Order: sequence, then structure tokens, then C-alpha cells
Amino acid sequence: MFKSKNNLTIQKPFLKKTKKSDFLVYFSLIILACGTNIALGFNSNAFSLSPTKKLTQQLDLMQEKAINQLQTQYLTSQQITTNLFEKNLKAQDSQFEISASLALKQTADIIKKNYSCSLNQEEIASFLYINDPTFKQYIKKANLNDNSNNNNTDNVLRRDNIAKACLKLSKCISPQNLNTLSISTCTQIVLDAYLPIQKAAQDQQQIQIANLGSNKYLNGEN
Amino acid sequence: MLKYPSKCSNIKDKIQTDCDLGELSTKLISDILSDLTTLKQAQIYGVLNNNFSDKKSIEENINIFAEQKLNIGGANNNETNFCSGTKHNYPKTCAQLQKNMKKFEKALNQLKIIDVKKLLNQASSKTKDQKICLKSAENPQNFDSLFCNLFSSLETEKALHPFINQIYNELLWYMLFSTYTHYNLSIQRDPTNQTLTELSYLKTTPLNIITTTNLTLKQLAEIESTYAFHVGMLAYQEDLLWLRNNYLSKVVTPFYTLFYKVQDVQIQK
Repeated sequence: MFKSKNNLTIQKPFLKKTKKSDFLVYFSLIILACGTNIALGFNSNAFSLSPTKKLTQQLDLMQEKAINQLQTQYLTSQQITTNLFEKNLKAQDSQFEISASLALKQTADIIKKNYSCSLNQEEIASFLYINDPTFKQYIKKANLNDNSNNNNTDNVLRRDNIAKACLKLSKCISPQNLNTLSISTCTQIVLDAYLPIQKAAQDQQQIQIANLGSNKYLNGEN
Repeated sequence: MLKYPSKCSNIKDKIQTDCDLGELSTKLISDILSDLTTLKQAQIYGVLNNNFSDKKSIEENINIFAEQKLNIGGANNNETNFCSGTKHNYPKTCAQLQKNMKKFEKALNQLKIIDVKKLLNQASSKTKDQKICLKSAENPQNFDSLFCNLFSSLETEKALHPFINQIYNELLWYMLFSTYTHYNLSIQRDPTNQTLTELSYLKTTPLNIITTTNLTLKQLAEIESTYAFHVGMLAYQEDLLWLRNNYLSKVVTPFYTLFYKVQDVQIQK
């Protein structure tokens, strides 16, 4: 310890003299200091990423993520449906199409169960087109969108389908009988199977309309 | 130009026998309801005219929307208006709203029954005067019912009620007509195939129209109650980003840097 000119106590220097061995000590200390600096991120190009650099990068990533979230969290879809009524009406029609297709399938299943007879949906549709105005209306509407149809050809095909289906039914119901069932009997068989299904579908639609969504957990809706 | 079956649109023909009135009335009501709902949806999105090429006009619409639905800024105030107020504005949210509004350009041009130009003539100035529909209600001769029913929701307490009344009013006339026609056809002694088909059409289609109307109204009510909130949130987000970029970034970044540097000291491994 010694006193300076201003009488301040100053600690003695650690090394008083400079020797060759001291020079080596200083040099290694300088190297160490540089290494520490590098480790602290003052010179990032020298070695692999330092802990501070990693932290900074993590911080940047977090901030970028936060900014992205801020910029996008309230954005909605770019698609805006502008003609809601038309689209809903089309969806309603397609729903009817699905239920009509389902009714045809169920009718085919009932006939198969009752008479062990496999009628395809086209054959059943041919019976219905002629005898059920609602079904005819649906087919007409569907055909309006299809310009390639030809009404006369379609009618011939339908009658052909009906004749084939009636022959099938005759073979299933009374295979021993040489006379085929009349067309009116075949029609009655198909309608007996189809009409209850159609009525159930209509009832369901009326329940939906009566509810208007207010009691959607009742009557089997979900 | 209306496009309906020639049998129905040519007056010289025997409309009563050849024209399928069930089908025609359904097409008409579908077009009417479609036009009304499209216009109402456009109004919910802030559209007050069909001049989509004029940026200034669209911004004016947005300023009115922001003032009346969100209570942000003043549409007539150069300092505080939503899109370009000199003191504070929301350019990004405004641009997003413009994009949304422009999506109605095609839809409004494709309306079949309602003349948009006539309906939206002076709509911006009419809308600024919130009492215009109340005033004209006292003077029935000058009451613009279509405009007021479609655009009066800016009187917030009424919400969609006038519009819903308008829709069900149209639907009532359609139902009366279809029931009347159905009854007249059903009392025919020897109905033709065409009559039977029309009867069937009149039995099923009104139900579809009612279901579709209810669904569409429900969707519109949802949009009406949520869109303003959505825009409010967009504006809030823009405010946050503005605050962050201009002020907080100078404070927050050093703060977090310090936190990450000292966190290892705080957490005992």
C-alpha cells in the first residue's frame, strides 16, 4: 500500500516488475480475455454460436412469432360468400337429391327383403317417374340442368325399365306362373314400398321447419 | 332484364293455361329474396353505393361504418376519420375493409329485380342522417321503405328487425299466392299431367323457400352481430402494432434481453 499525491490509498500493483516469464503470463491472459470476449458475443464470426447469441436469436424468433400472431390473429378468410340465399337454395335442392337417392335405395332394400327380388334404383325410379308427381318434378328439374337429355328417348327407356322390372318381380313372386304380373300390380308393389319412406322424409322436413332451429335438440335433430 | 320462361313473359300468349305459375312465382320470390339478402349483406359489410372504382367514396363508406358501428373517429372529421384522419387512422384495417367491400361489386351488378343505382342514390348522405327513416315514417308518401328496411340497421337499437319484417312480408305474399293457386288447381275435375306436376311443385317448393329463408336470415344475423367486432379487433391489432413499433420496441426489447440474461441466475439448476 502507498499514498498518492492526493493522499488516496491505492492498492499496490499485482506485478511490480516485468520479466520474460511475466510476459508469457500477460500474453496468456490477453488470449483468455479475447476468448471471453468472443464467448460473450463480441466477435461472433470466430467460433460457433455463443450462449448470448443463441439467446438473442431465440428472442428474435419469439418476437417475430409474436408480431406474426399480432398481424394475423384477427384476419378472416378471404372468401366471402356474397349470394347466401342462392347458395342455400342450391344446398337445399342437393339435400332433396340426397334424400331422393336414399329413398330409392331404401325402396330397393324393402322389395328385396319382402320378395327376395333385386330391383335396381333406375328401375324403381322409372316406376316413380310415371306415378309420383313429386318425383317427376324432381327428375324434370334435374334434367333442366342437363342439356344433353332427350325426353323421348328417356320415356322409351323408362317403359323398357318398367317392363324388365315387372318381369323380374313376376319371376320372384310366382316363379311357377307362366303369366307375368300386370304393370299396375308391379307399380302397386313399388309404391307400397316407396310411399311410407317418402312420407317419413316429408314429416321430418316439416318437423325441421316447425322447429326453425329453436328446439334443435328435440325430435332427433342434432 | 328479367329472364323467365317465354310462356310466362309474353303477354300475348295464354298465360293462364300455358305458363306454370307455380314455377314462375317460385323463381320470382327466389330472385326477390336473393336480391334483398345480398343487399343487406353488402350493407352489413359497409357498402353504401355501387361505385367501387372510386377509392374516396369507399373510404367515406368505411368512415361512416366505423363511426356508427364502432364509435371510432368521425366520418366528417378530417382529424379523426377512420381511414385517413390526420391525428390517428387505421390504414391497414381500412384496406382490409375495402377488399371485403369490393367482393360485393359483382354480386350487386348481378341483382335481378332491384335497381341498385336508384336504391343507393345519395345513400351515403341519407345514412349520415340517422333520423331520415324516422322522419319519413311520419310522412308516408315520401317513405322509402325499401331503403329504410335495408339500411336502417345503422339505428342500432333496431338491428335486423326492419329487414326481417320486409323478408317475411314478401314471403307472406308468395305463400298466399302459392296456396291460392294450389287450391284452384286441386279443384279441377280432370287434371292434366302438367297440372299434377304443378300441384306437386306448389306443395313442396314453398317449404324449401321457407327453410332457405330462415337459414339465410340466421346467417345474416350472425354476420351482423360479429362483423363489427371483427373490424374492431382488426383496429385494435393495428393500434397494438403501431404502439409497439413506435414506442414499446424501445423499451420492451432491452427489458426482455435483460430478462433472458439474468434468468439463469434466478433459476436454480
